[in-house]
Amino acid sequence: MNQYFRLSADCLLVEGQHDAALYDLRQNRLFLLDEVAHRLLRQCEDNQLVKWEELSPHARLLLQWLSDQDLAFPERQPVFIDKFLSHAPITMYGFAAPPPVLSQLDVSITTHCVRNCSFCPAHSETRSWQTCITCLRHPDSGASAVFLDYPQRLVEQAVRNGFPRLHLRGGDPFVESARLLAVVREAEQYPDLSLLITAPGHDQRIADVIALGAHPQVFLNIVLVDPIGSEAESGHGPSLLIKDLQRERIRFSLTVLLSGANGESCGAVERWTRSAFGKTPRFAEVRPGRQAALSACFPTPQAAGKSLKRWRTVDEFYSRVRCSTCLTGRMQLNCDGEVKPCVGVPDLVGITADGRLTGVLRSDVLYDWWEKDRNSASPCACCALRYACIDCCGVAFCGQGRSFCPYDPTSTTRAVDCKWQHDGFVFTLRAGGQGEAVCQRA
Amino acid sequence: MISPVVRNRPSPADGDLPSARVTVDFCSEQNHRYLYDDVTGLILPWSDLREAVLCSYLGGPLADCTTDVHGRFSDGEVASATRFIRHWADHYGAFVRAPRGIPPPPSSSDSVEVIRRNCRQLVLLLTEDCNLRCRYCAYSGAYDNVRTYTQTFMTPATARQAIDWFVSTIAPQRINNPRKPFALTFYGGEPLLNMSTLRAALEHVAARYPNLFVTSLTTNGTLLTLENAELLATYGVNTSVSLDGPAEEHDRERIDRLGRGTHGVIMKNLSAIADKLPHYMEHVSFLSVYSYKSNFDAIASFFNEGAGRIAPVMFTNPVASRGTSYWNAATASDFAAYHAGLQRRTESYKERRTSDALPSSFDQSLVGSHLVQVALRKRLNDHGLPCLPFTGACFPGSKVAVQASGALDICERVNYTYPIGTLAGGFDGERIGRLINMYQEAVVSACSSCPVTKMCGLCFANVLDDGTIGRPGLQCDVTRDGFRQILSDYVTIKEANPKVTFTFDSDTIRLEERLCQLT
Repeated sequence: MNQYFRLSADCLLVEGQHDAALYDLRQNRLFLLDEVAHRLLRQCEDNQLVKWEELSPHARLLLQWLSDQDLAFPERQPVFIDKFLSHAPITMYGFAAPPPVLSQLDVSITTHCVRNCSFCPAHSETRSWQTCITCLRHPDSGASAVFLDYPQRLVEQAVRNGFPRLHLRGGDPFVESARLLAVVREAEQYPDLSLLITAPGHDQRIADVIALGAHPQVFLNIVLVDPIGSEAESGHGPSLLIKDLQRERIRFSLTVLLSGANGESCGAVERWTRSAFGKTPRFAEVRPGRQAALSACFPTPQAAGKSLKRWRTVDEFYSRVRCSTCLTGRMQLNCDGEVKPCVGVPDLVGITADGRLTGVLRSDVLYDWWEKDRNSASPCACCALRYACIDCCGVAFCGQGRSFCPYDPTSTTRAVDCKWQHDGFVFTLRAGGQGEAVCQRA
Repeated sequence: MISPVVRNRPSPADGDLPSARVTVDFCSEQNHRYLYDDVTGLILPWSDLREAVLCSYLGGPLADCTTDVHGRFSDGEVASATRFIRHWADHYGAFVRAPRGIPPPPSSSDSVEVIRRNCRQLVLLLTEDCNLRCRYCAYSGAYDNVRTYTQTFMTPATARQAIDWFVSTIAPQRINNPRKPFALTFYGGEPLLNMSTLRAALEHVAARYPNLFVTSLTTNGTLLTLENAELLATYGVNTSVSLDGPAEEHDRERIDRLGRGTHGVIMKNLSAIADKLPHYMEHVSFLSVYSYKSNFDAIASFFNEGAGRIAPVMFTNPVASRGTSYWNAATASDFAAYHAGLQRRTESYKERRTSDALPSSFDQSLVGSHLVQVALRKRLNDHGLPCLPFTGACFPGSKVAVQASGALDICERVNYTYPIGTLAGGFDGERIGRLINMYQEAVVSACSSCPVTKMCGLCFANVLDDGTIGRPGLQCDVTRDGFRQILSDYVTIKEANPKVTFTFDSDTIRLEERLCQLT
């Protein structure tokens, strides 16, 4: 039986340089394809006649399985498939431009810090990943401390411009606890505004941290730096702080910043934090040198597995297509008034002398950053997994190569042969197998 | 034999309006069959078998299928078709729309707040006078319920007052959308008959609100002298010149008070501007009106090879048909020639798009703009305002036209029989509510059974009679039938060139198709 065979309108074949994946929009599933399956489905999507008797048994099984899953349908003739969209495929400019959807205002309220991490004062000479959830300073601060002159005004500016969350970071924002407290008091006028405070973990000013952390609008993010072999074993780690936060039932997250100084891996650190505090951390990384390889978190894709994240709705999937999920709607205000799209990105998008953001929000440069999507960054543009990955893309958008990602989409190693971390939504589809199941959980 | 499928459609309760199937069945030029579904906004590959299965699935009065599929399809094919129908019907609610209650318009004060957060364009009607007497003009007296030419002119003070009032109205938007520009449009009559007010308005904007407005002006071109053009160039005013093609086409309808054609003077003006102010020509575009009298090939040649080289055609529109007897004079052969002419331009457009070549601006405007309506149609989750869920109508006041008298209208295209406020008193929220109520009753209440709501552009300007909203009547039938052909043209191009994209550009707005090329 010869026929045409087309993927359903709500199933997308997304191709990379050598690789391909099927995105099942409705059931939020991702299928990694082997080479035979990729080639077969490419032919189908090109409206080529499928000669059933010439297919291998495994290829037949694959097409039958896709059909049973409503992911593809046979057609008697070559047809145009109108891909499913949840909204009209338009971007409105000019006088129809909608207001920007803002997500978070990141503010470094000081460059001061009681710690003396070797990599931090020379941050512009380092390379970092997930910088925005760390206490890394930007720009270089050296020994002199700089403080933001107008922290309270930021609350009014965040609310006025529509930011739902204000992220206060440093250096160490708790070196100026009084200023921080003033910001929180100001925010009480706007109960819908949430405050996130990121601070390095140490056992100084515990009372201040607990006092602010107990505020209902505040959520704390405590950063541990190279915890194994340094902080924990030297006895200078933030054990007291974290245990006190837990005792007082303060809401907080843990971020582990790995510098490579102690050769630690994310697996070992995760075991340690779970054992010591019963918490699973998020990871960030910093390395000396602008061209340094970022790798501590992911030794190899086969061994550790990069994290892929399920989209909850079709709208969320298309928001990943349209823009970068971690940059869009955010900006980083440094305490010297410089505004950047992200703390990990050196490009300037504006300057404010008094904390007012209207001028910055007029900046075309800022919107250029917000409109960057995975197709505008290398190597993401040639990665078949670009809409399942929500990794930090600041490094990629800086044009600094691909080394932040352990999976190399320019290589011939296919994603189907790698290991991935996910919550059960990633599967493999093989048409070139010798008897194993067509579809397996990845 | 069709396998029985379980019907999951609830039967309407007694007294309720029945659900309606909202699909359009059409074929591409390759004779491949498709179904457009107005619930999801999707175009689906279709066949006799899928049609039969869908009818079986829907059951009841919606099962009007007469296709005989017995013995023509294998059990496997029937099973596959059944899965296809159930996939789209069960998971996306495709094919059938149940009527739902439409909420009343917002309260008077809420209406004004909606406008303050959405208003985007100020139109100043600088005069009701014109130096031409175009035969098809809306103000020629040939249209019901539409004013004729008067000697009314807007004063500079009124223009400045209108601009200040508009800026105060849009203040909430400027807070959280600070880079959004707003549109300031000068319209008439012929706006260049009132140069003093035009100059005053432009100077006022430049002095008080720099970079806030994108300005534009619509003119018949006869008064677009070098001196006037220099003023428009100074302030970067986007200028649309009405030009219907070569002299023999244009001069048939666009005449002065003495009945003389105006093509010569317009082309002379434009030639002088192109020579002396070449940078300003980037701001100039053409508006072209056509009718059953038009020779489309001659117009296309003119714009493609002559005038089109100095400025693009931005919009083409047919002579309006509502409330006028203009089209009654057309004979059957006139209509045949008219449709044949349009068809030739459509074929030319399709040929270029399928070969990846760009069409001319005239063909893009005449043909491509309709295909853009299909490409940019609403999809599953696009629902519009709760009180105006169907048609392309804006919320009244989203665009505001200020008459010389200071009365506020919803658009420059309406007939000015239903003002929605005054400059002195602002928007009248109660009148806006009544207008929406009338529109809901006369238009929107019948839309739930329409199969092309996601592409419909009908709005208040199409149905406002003498202060009341009329039923669209035949307009809806024409729209439905028209879209069947447009869908066919769209899919024909897509079949031949799957990578083709459709974009819409104008002087003040840009819409962009971004998501069709996902892979």
